Amino acid sequence: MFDLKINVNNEWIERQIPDGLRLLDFLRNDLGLTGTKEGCGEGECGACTIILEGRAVDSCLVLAVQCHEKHVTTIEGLETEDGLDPVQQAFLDNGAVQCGYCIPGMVLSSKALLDANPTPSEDEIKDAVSGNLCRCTGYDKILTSVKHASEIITSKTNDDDLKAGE
Amino acid sequence: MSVKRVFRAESLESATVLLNEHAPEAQVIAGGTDLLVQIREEKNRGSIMVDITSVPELQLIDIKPDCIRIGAMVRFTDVVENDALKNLVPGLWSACKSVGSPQIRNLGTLGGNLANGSPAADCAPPLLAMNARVNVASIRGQKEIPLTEFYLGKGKTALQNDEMIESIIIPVSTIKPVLVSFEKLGLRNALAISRISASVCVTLDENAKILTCGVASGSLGLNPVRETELEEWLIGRTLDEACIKEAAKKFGDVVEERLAGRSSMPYKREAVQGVIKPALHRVLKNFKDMR
Amino acid sequence: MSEFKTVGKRHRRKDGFDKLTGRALYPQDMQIEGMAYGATVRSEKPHAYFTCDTSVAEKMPGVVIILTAKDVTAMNHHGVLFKDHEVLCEKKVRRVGDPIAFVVADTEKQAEAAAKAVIINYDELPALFDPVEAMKDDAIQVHDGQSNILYHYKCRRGDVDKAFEEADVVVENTYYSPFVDHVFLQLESGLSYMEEGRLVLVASSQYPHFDRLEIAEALGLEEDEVVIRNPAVGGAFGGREDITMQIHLGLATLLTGRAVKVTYSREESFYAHSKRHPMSMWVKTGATKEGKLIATEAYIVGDTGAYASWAINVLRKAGVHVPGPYEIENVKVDSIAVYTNNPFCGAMRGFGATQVPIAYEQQIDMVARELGMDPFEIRYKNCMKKGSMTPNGQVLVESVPLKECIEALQGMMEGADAND
Repeated sequence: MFDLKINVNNEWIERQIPDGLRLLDFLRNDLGLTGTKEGCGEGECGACTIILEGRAVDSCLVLAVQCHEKHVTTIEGLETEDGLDPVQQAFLDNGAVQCGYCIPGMVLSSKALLDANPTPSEDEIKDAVSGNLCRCTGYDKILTSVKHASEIITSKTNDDDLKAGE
Repeated sequence: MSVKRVFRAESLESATVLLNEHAPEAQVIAGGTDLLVQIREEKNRGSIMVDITSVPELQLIDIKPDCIRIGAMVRFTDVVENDALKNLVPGLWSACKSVGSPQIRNLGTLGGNLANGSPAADCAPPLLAMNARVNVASIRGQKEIPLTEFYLGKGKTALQNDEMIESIIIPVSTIKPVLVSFEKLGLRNALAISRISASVCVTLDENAKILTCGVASGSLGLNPVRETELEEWLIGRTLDEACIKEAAKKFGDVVEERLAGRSSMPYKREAVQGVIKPALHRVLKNFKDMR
Repeated sequence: MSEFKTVGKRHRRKDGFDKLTGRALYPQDMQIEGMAYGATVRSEKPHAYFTCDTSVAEKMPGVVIILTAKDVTAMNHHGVLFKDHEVLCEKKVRRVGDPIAFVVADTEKQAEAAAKAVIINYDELPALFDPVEAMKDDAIQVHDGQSNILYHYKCRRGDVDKAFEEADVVVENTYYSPFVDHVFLQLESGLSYMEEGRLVLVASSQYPHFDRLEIAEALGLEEDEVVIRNPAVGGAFGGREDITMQIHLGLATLLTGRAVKVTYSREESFYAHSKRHPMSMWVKTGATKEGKLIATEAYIVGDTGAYASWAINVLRKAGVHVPGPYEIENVKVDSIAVYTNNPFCGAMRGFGATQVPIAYEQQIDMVARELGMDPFEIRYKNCMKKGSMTPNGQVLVESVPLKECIEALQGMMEGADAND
């Protein structure tokens, strides 16, 4: 057993866990954060994507112990008191959600991209979500949503810059 | 078998001590992208994991004039985000960029890619073509093994149960410029294990005559290999369209003989030409761009 | 014309917010205090008689009950058209993946471990993987006492033999369309529990009302004793129309009183649900030298695998659609569904109409090529319109904008905006 200390969605959590526990199972079963999904268990579908220390990873391929003293963001960690994250809002506004099962992973891959690169090209967007399978939408509206989220983010930044200059 | 125990190593020394103390049940866990799949299929060698993800000295990229040293825990993404490596060893950079998906690249490591022993490992062909060596560590000390001597048959490497890769060393040729490329054929653009891959590493004189040559392939045998027949044929020739066309045909012949009797042979005999041609074209283009 | 409130307006889907924030619940996300877990034991052979020994497994830690065919409380069958599936196979398995036993234990790991300890002794039978072979008189029967030829759709109009004699061009080919899996992203998962004397089943399904009938019939309950709760469904495309774990779960809860949950792995998911019917389609097309199609003859063999599922509707639809959306006077179609020991086939988006275009569209292209005719021109000449009668006698009285669609396509493919 291992005494895990991990930051999940900006909250430090301490739990004793079995050594072989996958991060995916820790999040879903131990913390009850069922937003992260299992689609294949092999890192092939991306449904289990979360953000670990700023990078999108498949949580089915990570042992929870390997996240000791590290920061994890799940889909539940995106919204704030002010509302939805721009990525979530863009997906909602552009009709990019159908069955919803790929969505948590898809949104987090998109968020990881935009956090590092707020103005990605179309190719960079496609590359960023290339590890997230969607069986419903055909991806078109997902790409549109990420572009739209990029516009929301950069205009917010511009607004903030303008305000700072006032 | 399921994982019974995970030891988190804080240093290279403690990692080697743990591997030795718990041999043969202990094995290294780095990025986990191969290992977690093996655990799921109950095909992993050991039930005790030595986690090296927090060992700082394994995460370094060190670029010197005569050699590049990449720590075993360097992730594919770390290589992709490194502009110096992109310029110096574009073939290795391409190989790292082609692996899996962003999520897999964010986890997987170069050390793990080699240690897993797969013939389809994307890093192996460019590293082989560049005469890379692996630095292997254990409680008995450190030793360098040329990558050409690292693979010992299907899925088998020269690593003993209590040994681990510490870093990968790429000698930089004193004859500039060194040109290295990588091409891969997979079933799709992402999340694709390579069906065939090839890497070319050459130095050329000002007339594009091939002075030194390393060619390596993946998924064309039990291990990634140096294509010595093709190398011998290429050395001394001028790298141009005609040469590339003939080299591709020669490679097809080599593969036909090697894979004789296998059901994949008719396909691979043709497909390898589609992989080696772009690999050779790329070094030629880089050469022309440099002038 | 008054303004529409909904039609033509943009709307955010009702469940989008929940799905985007991790609130939407699929069965795998649900827990019930004190619930037990199920694991299915499935056949590893495509065709065999078998016996099943659960004595070792029953004694393993945490095991609550191991269900086999004898435990099914009323009817050991289910199926969307024919009830040819068994809830749990009793004597014979007809495909790799046929369910033989359902283990219920306190934890997931215990259920999986006990499932591995169930011993199956197979008495293997010759297995059929080619539907053409399965159609032969001396072929072994997949369902004992029943012909492997499950369904034969026939369409006859006019006189194809005479028309082929008169035709200036005749093109004949065989086309093949393979098995396809839906690979919906959400893995199958379900829970069952008792609530106020009624059996509640939570599972992602396309067919909740019918699931209720099937569960009630298999378990010997009244319809209103069974409650179906359908939560978020993570894709289906036809693959969630057949029963998978619903009756297993219901039976487990009925016999133990406990809540029971099961979630399939991706591998098990592939074994558990249906596939698209593979079809071999022999098609013969006759036309005049002006490019008028005058005859289509087709012989379609669809492999429905071990169970019927929607085979009848699918092969009928294939038979109806194989002449294509073209006016053809003389039509002879035979479309046949055959049992084999392959994975069973059922509904998959398109449902018989998806396989045949590869045949009829290439046939018309080949006729055009023989005649030196433009592929658009030959389609304008033959395409159905309002008032056309289909080969099986339906008169198209409503909107048939096929010509307009082809024109729009031609504009896109050849017009100013077309890519080189």
